[in-house]
Amino acid sequence: MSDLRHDHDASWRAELDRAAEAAGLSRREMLRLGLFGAAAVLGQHWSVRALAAATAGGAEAFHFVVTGDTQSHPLRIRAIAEAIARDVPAFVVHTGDLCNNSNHPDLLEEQFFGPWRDLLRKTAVWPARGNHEYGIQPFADLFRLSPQRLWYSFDYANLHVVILDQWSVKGSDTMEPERMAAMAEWLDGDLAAVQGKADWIIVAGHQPMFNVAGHGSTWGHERILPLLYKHGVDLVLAGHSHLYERFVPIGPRGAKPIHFIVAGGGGGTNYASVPSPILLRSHAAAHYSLYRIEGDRLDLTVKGSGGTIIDTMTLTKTGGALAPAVLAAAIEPEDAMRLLKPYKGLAVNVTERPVAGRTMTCTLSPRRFPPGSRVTFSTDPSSSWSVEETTFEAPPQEPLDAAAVSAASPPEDDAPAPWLLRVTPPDGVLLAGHGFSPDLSASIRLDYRGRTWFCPSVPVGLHELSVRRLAPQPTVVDVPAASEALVAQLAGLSRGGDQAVNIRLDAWEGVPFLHLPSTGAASRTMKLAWARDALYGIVAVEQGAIHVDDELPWNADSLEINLEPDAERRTRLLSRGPTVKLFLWPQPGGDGGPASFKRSTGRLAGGSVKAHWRKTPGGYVMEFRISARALTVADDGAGTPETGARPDAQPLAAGRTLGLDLVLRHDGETVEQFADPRGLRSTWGSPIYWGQIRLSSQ
Amino acid sequence: MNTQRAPWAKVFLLAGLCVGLAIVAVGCRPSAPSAAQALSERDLISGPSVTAVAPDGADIHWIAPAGMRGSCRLLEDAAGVVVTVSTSAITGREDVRYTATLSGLSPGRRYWYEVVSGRERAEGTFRTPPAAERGVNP
Repeated sequence: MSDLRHDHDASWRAELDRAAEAAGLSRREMLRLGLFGAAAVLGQHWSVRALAAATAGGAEAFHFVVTGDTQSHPLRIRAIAEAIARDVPAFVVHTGDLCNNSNHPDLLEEQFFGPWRDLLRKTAVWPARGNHEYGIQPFADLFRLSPQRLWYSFDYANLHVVILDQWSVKGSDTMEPERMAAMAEWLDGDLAAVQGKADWIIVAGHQPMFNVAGHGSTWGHERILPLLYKHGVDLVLAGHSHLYERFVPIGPRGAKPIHFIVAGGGGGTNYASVPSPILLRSHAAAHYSLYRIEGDRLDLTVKGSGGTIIDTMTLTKTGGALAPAVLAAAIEPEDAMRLLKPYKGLAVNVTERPVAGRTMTCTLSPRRFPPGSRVTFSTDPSSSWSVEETTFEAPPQEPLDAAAVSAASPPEDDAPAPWLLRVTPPDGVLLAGHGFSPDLSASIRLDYRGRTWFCPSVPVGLHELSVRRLAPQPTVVDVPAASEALVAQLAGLSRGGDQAVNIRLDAWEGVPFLHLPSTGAASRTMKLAWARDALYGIVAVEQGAIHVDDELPWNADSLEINLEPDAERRTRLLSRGPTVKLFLWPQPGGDGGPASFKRSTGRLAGGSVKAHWRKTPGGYVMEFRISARALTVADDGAGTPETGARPDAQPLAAGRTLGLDLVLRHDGETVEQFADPRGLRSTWGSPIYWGQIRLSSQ
Repeated sequence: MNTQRAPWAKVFLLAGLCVGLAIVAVGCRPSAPSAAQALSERDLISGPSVTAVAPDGADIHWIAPAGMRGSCRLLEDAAGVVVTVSTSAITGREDVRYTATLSGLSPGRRYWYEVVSGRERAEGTFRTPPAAERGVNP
């Protein structure tokens, strides 16, 4: 095999001939490769070496790619697709979520067909349905799959691949029991039919069967997993959680263990990785998995878009059996479930503010650790906190799921006595949204059933109740009712159109500048007023040139608005929760018009937020409206305003109190902020220190 | 007079030839639809993509406006291969999916194809799996 990029002594034509011979292709085919992208010859896009490797192996060796979750970020998706194309796989398995909503042609094009355009023309694709396909149609239409059964299998040489469906017919809910039963029956027969005919069996779907971070999915344990053990499946591959996770082999005693891998790195927003005793490797960045099979040998190479090697694994079989070392490393599924998420959302309670150098006692629920396990906490060498080495014994009860020991659980609900952990904060420690800053972390050794599992660095958060207890009560600032003249002026903003762009500062003259608890003085730029239909505001900025960043507005000139309709001082902001978090900024170019807008959280229907801006000699002025509907809290009887239900709009009224933080930025630097962040660290997505406003009758 | 070319001259010529090839290749390819061009204005909206590849057959899909003239052919090694193009609706969309069903392919071979949809043309490639007892199992 030759590499054109490094052999300058031979002519390119002779090189092509040699490469063609090695690849089993005609010169014409090789020339077509060159014409397909002349960069092939330059070695920039098509690698002749890779193509030759892909083609020359024949039935004895081949390689393919598994990826999924091509969502949200076209540039990242394209970078991964281009990297996959350079490896010239025989085929690609897509584990679902082609885009954010496959029912929208524009999104399909923007996030899948567009970025994958060249890749799709160089190989074949086998798709699984994700929750973002939102129902069987049009997914089945796009790939001409039976709408009754989106599960299927295929063979490639000595490999058998099963693609599973996991969702309801009409949406992204749990699969209907009768369809699950039908799929299980088919799967049983399909896998039975390949016994002795396939050296390797891979099962792929969207939801993982073992997963720690992100969704933490444990799909299919009751109906599907037993069948996979029964028929000796080798690997189970999934996406859904946008990161990479590879677990220790898992299998019942006497059965062939399965390698479970989460590989949702096709370009969607990264999920943060979470340590687990049974994770061999995790990585939170875009990636794809390249598998190479040659007879009884399987090689996995996980790559980032830049070619970075993230993980490798090799499996070999002798007489169909895995190596003894693999079998010895395996754990049983029940133990895997107990060891899966003891560190996910690990949080302590404290009763005092952390002070540098002063040892404090934290309490910790033991209900997340395997029964009878011994858990030893000690100082994480990479952390600036020190943790007094202490060993605890977990109670005999089965551990609760991480979600059940959530940050919101009151500590007094813990049945067993909480564990007491003594920690010493470093210099400069602050209370932050979900914990401390710098982060508290610990090394944890877990001894369970004769094996020891060690994680050198486990983040330890802080229960929400502790955060609320320690964060000071905010100062309540009165916001005046809008005058009739101002309401008349703002009616233009409500309707939109050119009138709104003609922002009249004199209409705001009777409204005082907003008092800022952060400085104890009046703002120089911000005013707020309310009416029954909406909360209104204006910022008049004197700063010179305007710099904007449409992707990361907080790094440029922008106004960040955080509004909490019920002033609950939440520390967890949910995408569709009641808390409104958004950014407004002037559009680049021009002298004014509709302002740019980015929603982070909040149930904002179309038109809930209106904003316009106008250039001024010294900067810009921007006026905004947030509708009463966007500030209405759901009352669903369950007392949970975070259910995602859209309540009927309630008009704003005098006396109402709302949580507020406003941050005005220039070139990413805070110019003015409403809430007082001193002594605290308000982190992205979790402003722990809410200021508050009261709608005044004046 | 020394008529031997400097080593860098050969490299330069090779690079120039390659760049020339690239220009020709780019010129021959159908122009990629611009981002600003609405999907509904394209003759070839999405694809082509290849699925259901078996040792002896494959499906090539593309999405195009309903009524668009569409065809698919193998660029070489097409002896014995039958290509049948059909269309089907995509739920919730006005454009339709075109499917070229290829049969009579040989196992373990790379194929090159061309799809023409209205004024647009696209080339692609795929490889059939080696011969196996089983193919696609719906």
